[in-house]
Amino acid sequence: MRAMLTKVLGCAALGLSLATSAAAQSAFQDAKGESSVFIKEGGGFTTINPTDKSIELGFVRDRGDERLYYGVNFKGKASGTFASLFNGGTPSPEAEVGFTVGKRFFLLAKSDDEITQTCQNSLKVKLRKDDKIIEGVKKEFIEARKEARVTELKKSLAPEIKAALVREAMAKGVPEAVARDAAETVAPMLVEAAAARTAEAELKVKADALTPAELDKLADEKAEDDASVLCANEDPALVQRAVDWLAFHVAYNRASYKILNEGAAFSDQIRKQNFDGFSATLGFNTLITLDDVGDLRAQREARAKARGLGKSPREVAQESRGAMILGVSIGVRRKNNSDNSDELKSVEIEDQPFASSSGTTQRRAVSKQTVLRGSYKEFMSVPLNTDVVIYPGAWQSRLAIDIFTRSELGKTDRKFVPGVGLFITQQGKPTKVVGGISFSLDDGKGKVGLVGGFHF
Amino acid sequence: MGKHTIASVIEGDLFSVLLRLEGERIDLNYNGSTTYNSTNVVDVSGALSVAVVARGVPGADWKVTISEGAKKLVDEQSLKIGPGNLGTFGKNVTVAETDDAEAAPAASSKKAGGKAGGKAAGKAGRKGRG
Repeated sequence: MRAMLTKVLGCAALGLSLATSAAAQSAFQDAKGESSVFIKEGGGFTTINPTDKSIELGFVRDRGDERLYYGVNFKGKASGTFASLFNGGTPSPEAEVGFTVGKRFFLLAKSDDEITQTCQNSLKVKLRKDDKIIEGVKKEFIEARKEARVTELKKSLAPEIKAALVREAMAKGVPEAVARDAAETVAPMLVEAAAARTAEAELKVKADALTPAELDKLADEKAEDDASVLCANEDPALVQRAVDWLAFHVAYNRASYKILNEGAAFSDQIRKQNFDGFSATLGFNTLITLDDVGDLRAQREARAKARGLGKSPREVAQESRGAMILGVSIGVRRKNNSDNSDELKSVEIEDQPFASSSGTTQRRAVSKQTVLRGSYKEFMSVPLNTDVVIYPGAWQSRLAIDIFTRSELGKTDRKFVPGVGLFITQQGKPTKVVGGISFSLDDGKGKVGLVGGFHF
Repeated sequence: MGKHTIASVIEGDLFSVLLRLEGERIDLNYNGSTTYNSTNVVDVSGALSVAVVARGVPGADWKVTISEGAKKLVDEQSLKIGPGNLGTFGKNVTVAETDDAEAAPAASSKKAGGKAGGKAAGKAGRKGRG
């Protein structure tokens, strides 16, 4: 697959790596699968990543609001073949456990809950003072009971109305059988209308009989209901320039490698190397609108004002100019160079503990294992990632452009990698990437990364 | 004026969701993909008020379904996040009166209590806030 894609892209000056994402933390990844954009994931999830040769299980508790969300994940990884993760023949199994905690509406003065609650508390007082609210209470009282009462009345009125229709027709000389057939056809409409009229009249009497205390109580509750609906539909304070969220992830991982040292004595050439790593990453993201916030607030104010004047609120159909996600993440990580194929290469070695021959037949017993060959190192890494993901309004969020940087601030392998990515998203699902390509400049070499999204 | 078991489902590629039934915030469960849901016993006076505030990238589709048993009280299937990364929905819907309501209309107290994904999540007493 990788070789085929390399051919397809066939760009001699560019190195190629392939990153696939299966419901990963963020689809906006570079060639190494890194990103500073933390699109939230919740519930239980399983991720199988053939490129990273890993399988991950996790659970995130998220209510979708301003309260803390948190999660745990477990990851197993093989540095040999992907299949070795499952058959136990892996030369260097890795296991990781991680914890995540995050919060939305981190820097904003007020969350949507606080904004709507403030609006509701203020508006319900205003609505309660409006004399029309009592009319509304009585109307709702009638509407809530009407359906059940109409059903009851239809049962009692139907025989009476049918009999009256038959009597009336027969009085005009219509034969009884014909009159009964006609009544069966006409009666349901008349019964429905009569039941509705009677139910409304009965319930109006009941509504008018409500005591002042009952009416006050119901009016208080209606004022709050109406305020809740109007605040969601009209409160200008809900129009905000940005919505942000912060995520903090810590992880511990344990790995074991077999390192080949060809220069050592034969019995010491294969050395087992254990590794204890950890990482802590803090990521801050913000979703920013490219629309005119002042204009949008003015439109909501106009709608609220029109309602207050008894006019129909003006519905505004407007195209968006688009949106932008800014992401920045910084972390500290104790790692090794096992994933650096320039320094450590994965090679297969075989021992022949037994060989014999009989005539032309040769028999050998071969023991194979995959080891890492090269100079093994451990070091501290301080990665700093930034992303600016732009959704141009003209593309209705089907296209996302990611301008990113990947920097290493640690003492080892310091670097700065700028890049740009283009991603196509699903119709109506702007954060679900169907596919994308990224270009980055790493140590003077161009890199191309492909991202494929599999969402299930 | 009557207790109703209300199932709420909000679907969409969203960044945050706020649902209020009868003016009370409802705790939602997120399934990790595009669905937020909750089932709550709600004391309804007259009409059931439904208010939703959703945040996302403009153009994202979202849906609101509010049901009582098999009856869909709200079935909005073609909402879109609009300018300002904002999508809102608010409506008062009539629900048929239940038997316990006739007994004591004046004694009703509005509160949304119940289950979100099988655990008690609803609560009352947030009205004084703000």
